[in-house]
Amino acid sequence: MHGQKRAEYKARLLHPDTRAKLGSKAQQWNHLSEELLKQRRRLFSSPPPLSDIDTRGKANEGNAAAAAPSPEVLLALTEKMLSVNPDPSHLWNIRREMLVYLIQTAPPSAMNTTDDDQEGVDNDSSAKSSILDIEVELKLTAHCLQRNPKSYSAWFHRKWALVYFMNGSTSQQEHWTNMKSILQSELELCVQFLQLDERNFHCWNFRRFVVGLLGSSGGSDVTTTSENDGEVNNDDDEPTTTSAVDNFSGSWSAWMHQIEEEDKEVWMGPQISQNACRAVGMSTGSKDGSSDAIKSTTPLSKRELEKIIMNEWDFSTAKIQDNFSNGSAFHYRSKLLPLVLEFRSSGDSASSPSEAYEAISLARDEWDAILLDAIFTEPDDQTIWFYHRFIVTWARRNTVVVDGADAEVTEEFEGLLYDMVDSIQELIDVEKEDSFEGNTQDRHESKGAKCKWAYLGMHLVLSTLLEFKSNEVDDEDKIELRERTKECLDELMRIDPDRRERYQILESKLYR
Amino acid sequence: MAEASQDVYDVIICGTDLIQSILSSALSRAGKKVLHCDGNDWYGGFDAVLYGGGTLDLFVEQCMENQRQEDNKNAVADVSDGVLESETNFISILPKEKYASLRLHSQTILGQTNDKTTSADVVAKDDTVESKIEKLAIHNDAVDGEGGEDSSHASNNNLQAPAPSNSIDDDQVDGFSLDISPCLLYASGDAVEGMVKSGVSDYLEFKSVEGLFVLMAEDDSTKSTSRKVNRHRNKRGDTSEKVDDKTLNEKPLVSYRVPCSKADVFRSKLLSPVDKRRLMKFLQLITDYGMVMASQSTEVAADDDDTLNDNNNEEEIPSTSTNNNGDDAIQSVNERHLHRGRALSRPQNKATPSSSDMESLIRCVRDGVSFSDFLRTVVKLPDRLAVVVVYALALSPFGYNTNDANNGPMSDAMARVSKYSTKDGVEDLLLHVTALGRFGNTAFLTAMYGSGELSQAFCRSGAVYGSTYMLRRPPLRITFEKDSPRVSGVVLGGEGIAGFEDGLDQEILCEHVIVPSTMIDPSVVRNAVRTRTYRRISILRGKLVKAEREQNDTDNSSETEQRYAIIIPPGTRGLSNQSAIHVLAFDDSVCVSPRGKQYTVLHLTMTSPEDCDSHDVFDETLGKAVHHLIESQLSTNEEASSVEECHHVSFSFTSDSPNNITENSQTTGLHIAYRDTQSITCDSAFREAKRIFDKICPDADFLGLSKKVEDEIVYRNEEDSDDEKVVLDSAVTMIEAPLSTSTASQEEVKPTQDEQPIDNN
Repeated sequence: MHGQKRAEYKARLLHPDTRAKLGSKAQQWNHLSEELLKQRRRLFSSPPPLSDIDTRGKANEGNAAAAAPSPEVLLALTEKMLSVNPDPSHLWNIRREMLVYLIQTAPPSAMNTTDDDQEGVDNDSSAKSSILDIEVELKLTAHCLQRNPKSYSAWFHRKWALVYFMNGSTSQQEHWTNMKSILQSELELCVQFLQLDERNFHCWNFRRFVVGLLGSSGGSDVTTTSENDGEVNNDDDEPTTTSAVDNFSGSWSAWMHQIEEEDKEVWMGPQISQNACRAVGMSTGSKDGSSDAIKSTTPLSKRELEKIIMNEWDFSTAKIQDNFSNGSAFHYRSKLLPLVLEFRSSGDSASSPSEAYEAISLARDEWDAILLDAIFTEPDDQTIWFYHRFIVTWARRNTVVVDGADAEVTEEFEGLLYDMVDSIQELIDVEKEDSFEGNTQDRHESKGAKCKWAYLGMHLVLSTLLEFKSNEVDDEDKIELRERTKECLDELMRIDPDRRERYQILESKLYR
Repeated sequence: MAEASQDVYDVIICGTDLIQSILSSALSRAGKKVLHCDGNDWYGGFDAVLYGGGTLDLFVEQCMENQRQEDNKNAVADVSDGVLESETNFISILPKEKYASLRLHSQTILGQTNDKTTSADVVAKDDTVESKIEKLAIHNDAVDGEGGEDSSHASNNNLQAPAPSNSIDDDQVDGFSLDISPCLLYASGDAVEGMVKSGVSDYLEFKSVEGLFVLMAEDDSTKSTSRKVNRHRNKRGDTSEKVDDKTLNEKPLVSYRVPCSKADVFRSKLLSPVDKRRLMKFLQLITDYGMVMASQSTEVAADDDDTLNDNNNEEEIPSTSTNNNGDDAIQSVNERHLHRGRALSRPQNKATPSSSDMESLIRCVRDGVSFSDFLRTVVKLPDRLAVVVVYALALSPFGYNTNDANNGPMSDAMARVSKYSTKDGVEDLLLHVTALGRFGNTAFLTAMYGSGELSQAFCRSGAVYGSTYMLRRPPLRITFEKDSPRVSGVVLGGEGIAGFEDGLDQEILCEHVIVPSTMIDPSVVRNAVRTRTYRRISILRGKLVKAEREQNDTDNSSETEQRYAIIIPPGTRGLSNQSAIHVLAFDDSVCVSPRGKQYTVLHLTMTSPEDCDSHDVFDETLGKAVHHLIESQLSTNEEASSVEECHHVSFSFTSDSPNNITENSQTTGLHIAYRDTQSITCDSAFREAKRIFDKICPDADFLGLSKKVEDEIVYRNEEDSDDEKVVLDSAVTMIEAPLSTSTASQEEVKPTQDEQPIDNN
């Protein structure tokens, strides 16, 4: 679509032939929608006898009442319609409704034929999953997402299918292994989608979701020797997601609502954090209620978790290397940072520096390896400055340790901040200099090179330094810092008059 | 085909080099009656692709032949060689083995050498050539620094026997396709435009070049930043490796990815942060300049901004009004130039560049400031970075002058080629920069099976439009009308046609003759400057460039595929090359080496500013360059030690560039085609072809498709199947059919899954 004039595009659409074609398609679509809703209504107004034998019998012999709509037809219809237009969420809802309906009304006898591993197991959950053909749903959603990579409802359906499939079954090892390979291929799919559009936040979200599932999907029997108890005994200890599935009524909003009630975070990925913490043997602190939100069959070994996390870390690095103007990638990184820190600082017990120290050095790595190069490559890109802001505040938070400030940590953090000041100052100097004339004096601010973000970043670093030293007496250093901070704000007021008031407030705080 | 009738042709084209092939296709499209002849058995002339075990041997043999003749009757022949003789009214064309005074410098024999290959026979026949080549072979060994193990090779007095481990198996020899003049294409530029427009691209396949590198000595200034990092590492107790300054000099050269796009600059290990900023600003300024120039010539097609505007610069740029226009042009970039590469585009919150920067650039272009001075004093790039800009971004073989008096006075020729104005530099840069971000990681495409395929494709399309082709018929003379500067025809040699015994020469009449400068005696092309292009084709065992690890996550497929361009700037330590050396490395991913075998074909090209006799020096330099290239990869990867050169051929030929285009005003109908000196892309061939085309057909469309073909294509596109409709139709039939039973519906479900194109992943 790029590179063609809108007028041409419009003209093509308004061409009688095209219009006729589109018109006939629209008619077909409307006809299908009506028919679909009608059939669904009929299906539920006259529910088929719940006796299993009757249902199957009808299906097999095919001589039952012609009027009774079949869920299979509705399923096929939604598939066709959705592959043309993946957006209408009511179609997805109907699809899920039918899938669940079919599974719930299916006789247990059908289960034996579909899944031969489960003969011995006779509980509800095993009966449920065996009918959802995950491959069909994955294929359909993949096709829909190719058509529209930003279709909320298609992405959601994919998530739903994965979770439904994952939780529907027993906690048999084989199932988990199978699930793992599915999840791995989901990660591959994310790679492909992000290759096409590196800023597709739907896909980034989905990736975090998949990684979350992967993290709670249980360890493989090979490596989990120390952490697990050797036995798989979680039949009555289902993941919470199952309860959501149990009560699933087929509607998206109800689904989301339910999840919110239980634990919003489960869906955003922290389950892996939970697992990580448990495996590493650390307390997560704040999350008391949610700590048993997800219990996988077998907790992942620390090494496995580290592998997953570091793989994601490297992935975000690679994406940022491709194009650092990518808020999603930085956001992902910010979510991964605490986990990476855990792995880093839990190395050799005695000799390794404290976690706080490790946090600072991680922040420094981010500064050296990514931020510094990025701000010098394109200082007007907000994305990097936001990440810079995150890194500074995150590192600042990490300097506050339980047993008071560690002198070494403090020194290291200050060193990092001073390095930042130097580099940003250097950037401002290069930007400000009228490079072709060599003078920095009569530069017209209106003609580019305002460096607003550099000043903002500078202000952040300077004020963090000041805040850091707030307990010290006013020595020369501090006075100079304050002076520079004020200069920064003054400059910002000049080049960004729209936010003048904000800068004034910031300035007033300086001398408080 | 061989029936050269007595018809009068509109145009006779001599030689099937790329420029002539493009012209042949373009002129026949424009309705001209074209005769296209070549003395060789194959298409392509100096742009041909040679096949191991076939045309390669013929080519080498031809080189030998030429050399032998020259050595035997050295001073005798030169006098009589065709000068424009006004009484006889003709210009003679050189015999085909003398085109561009081709010379062979050194070679090893391709293939297992027990059976004597043809070229080996030639060597054996002639003592002088043999000894000369052998001497060079020794040189190369010494250069390789592995004289010890290879000394048997040198002392053997037998050129045919390279070390057995090095040789290529006989059955693999014919898997090699070696270009005489390999070239890339800008992913967006004259070449691609011409091929898309003409439909010739349908005959060809392309792949993207994976990386553009520059091979340089490591620099101290980059050390300083890493030291800064190290300081903190030390605090933590890590012991950082101390850099010993003395060993620095013996360190192998390092190949850096050339920072072209924003991502490249960001990733580059070559640049300090401040340099990154300066380079980005500069590159963005260049793109803006391109936009401004494009917007100022709205009457010209939008894509021709690079070449066509330049003549108008003086009149069209009053410096005051420019600024406003320029700003407007840049701010509306998104609307007007979305189809251009956006590898350097600014973030949306900052569309305006500094207009004072633009003013100074325009001033420098107008005042003819040298590009080196511009980069150094105005853009304030450090020397090292300026070198990268001139040689690896503008891709000029010459042109960066350090203001260093120590270098001593330059030779006249050197001074001439070193004239590289800001205008030239900016234009070359624009060609590169606008082609970025179009396809793959670099601005370049490469043709599968060798770039020689290009000329063949154009010849084929020429034949479709009615050009007459004659191979094995060398043009001998261009004749003129009596007492008139008007071309009357071309005499074709009859020899070489099988079964055509008397080999009668035949004069064929025409109005225009197109002949490359390389085919006629230098004395005829009076205004031209003659340079000599040195080439070395090396076949390496193993992959030269190792995959970068960070990249592996996103594209595994191209991990070890070798499609790289490497630039070695002039005066590189240990080489002291006068011009930049352009290196292209390809492997079986573009089918130039046997499939599945770990060979890399390496093309090295450099230019001597004058056609001098010190061939040995150049040959040696290229040999060293190969050595350095292999070594530079060694430092990053131990496996690279398995990479070794197992065959090479080294030769040189001349090319001419006109001093000013007002050529041969005393003749009409004679058009001399000049090949560009050492251009890494073949886009210049399209420009040269267009120049000549416009002279012959001033008002015609260059390389346009015929109406009929175009309609066909439009029709074809319209017939694209509408899968939405198919699916909807099937859904409608599903509910309309009496589907009361679920068995029937289940049958329906199956086929729908098949008919949907959803199994793509």
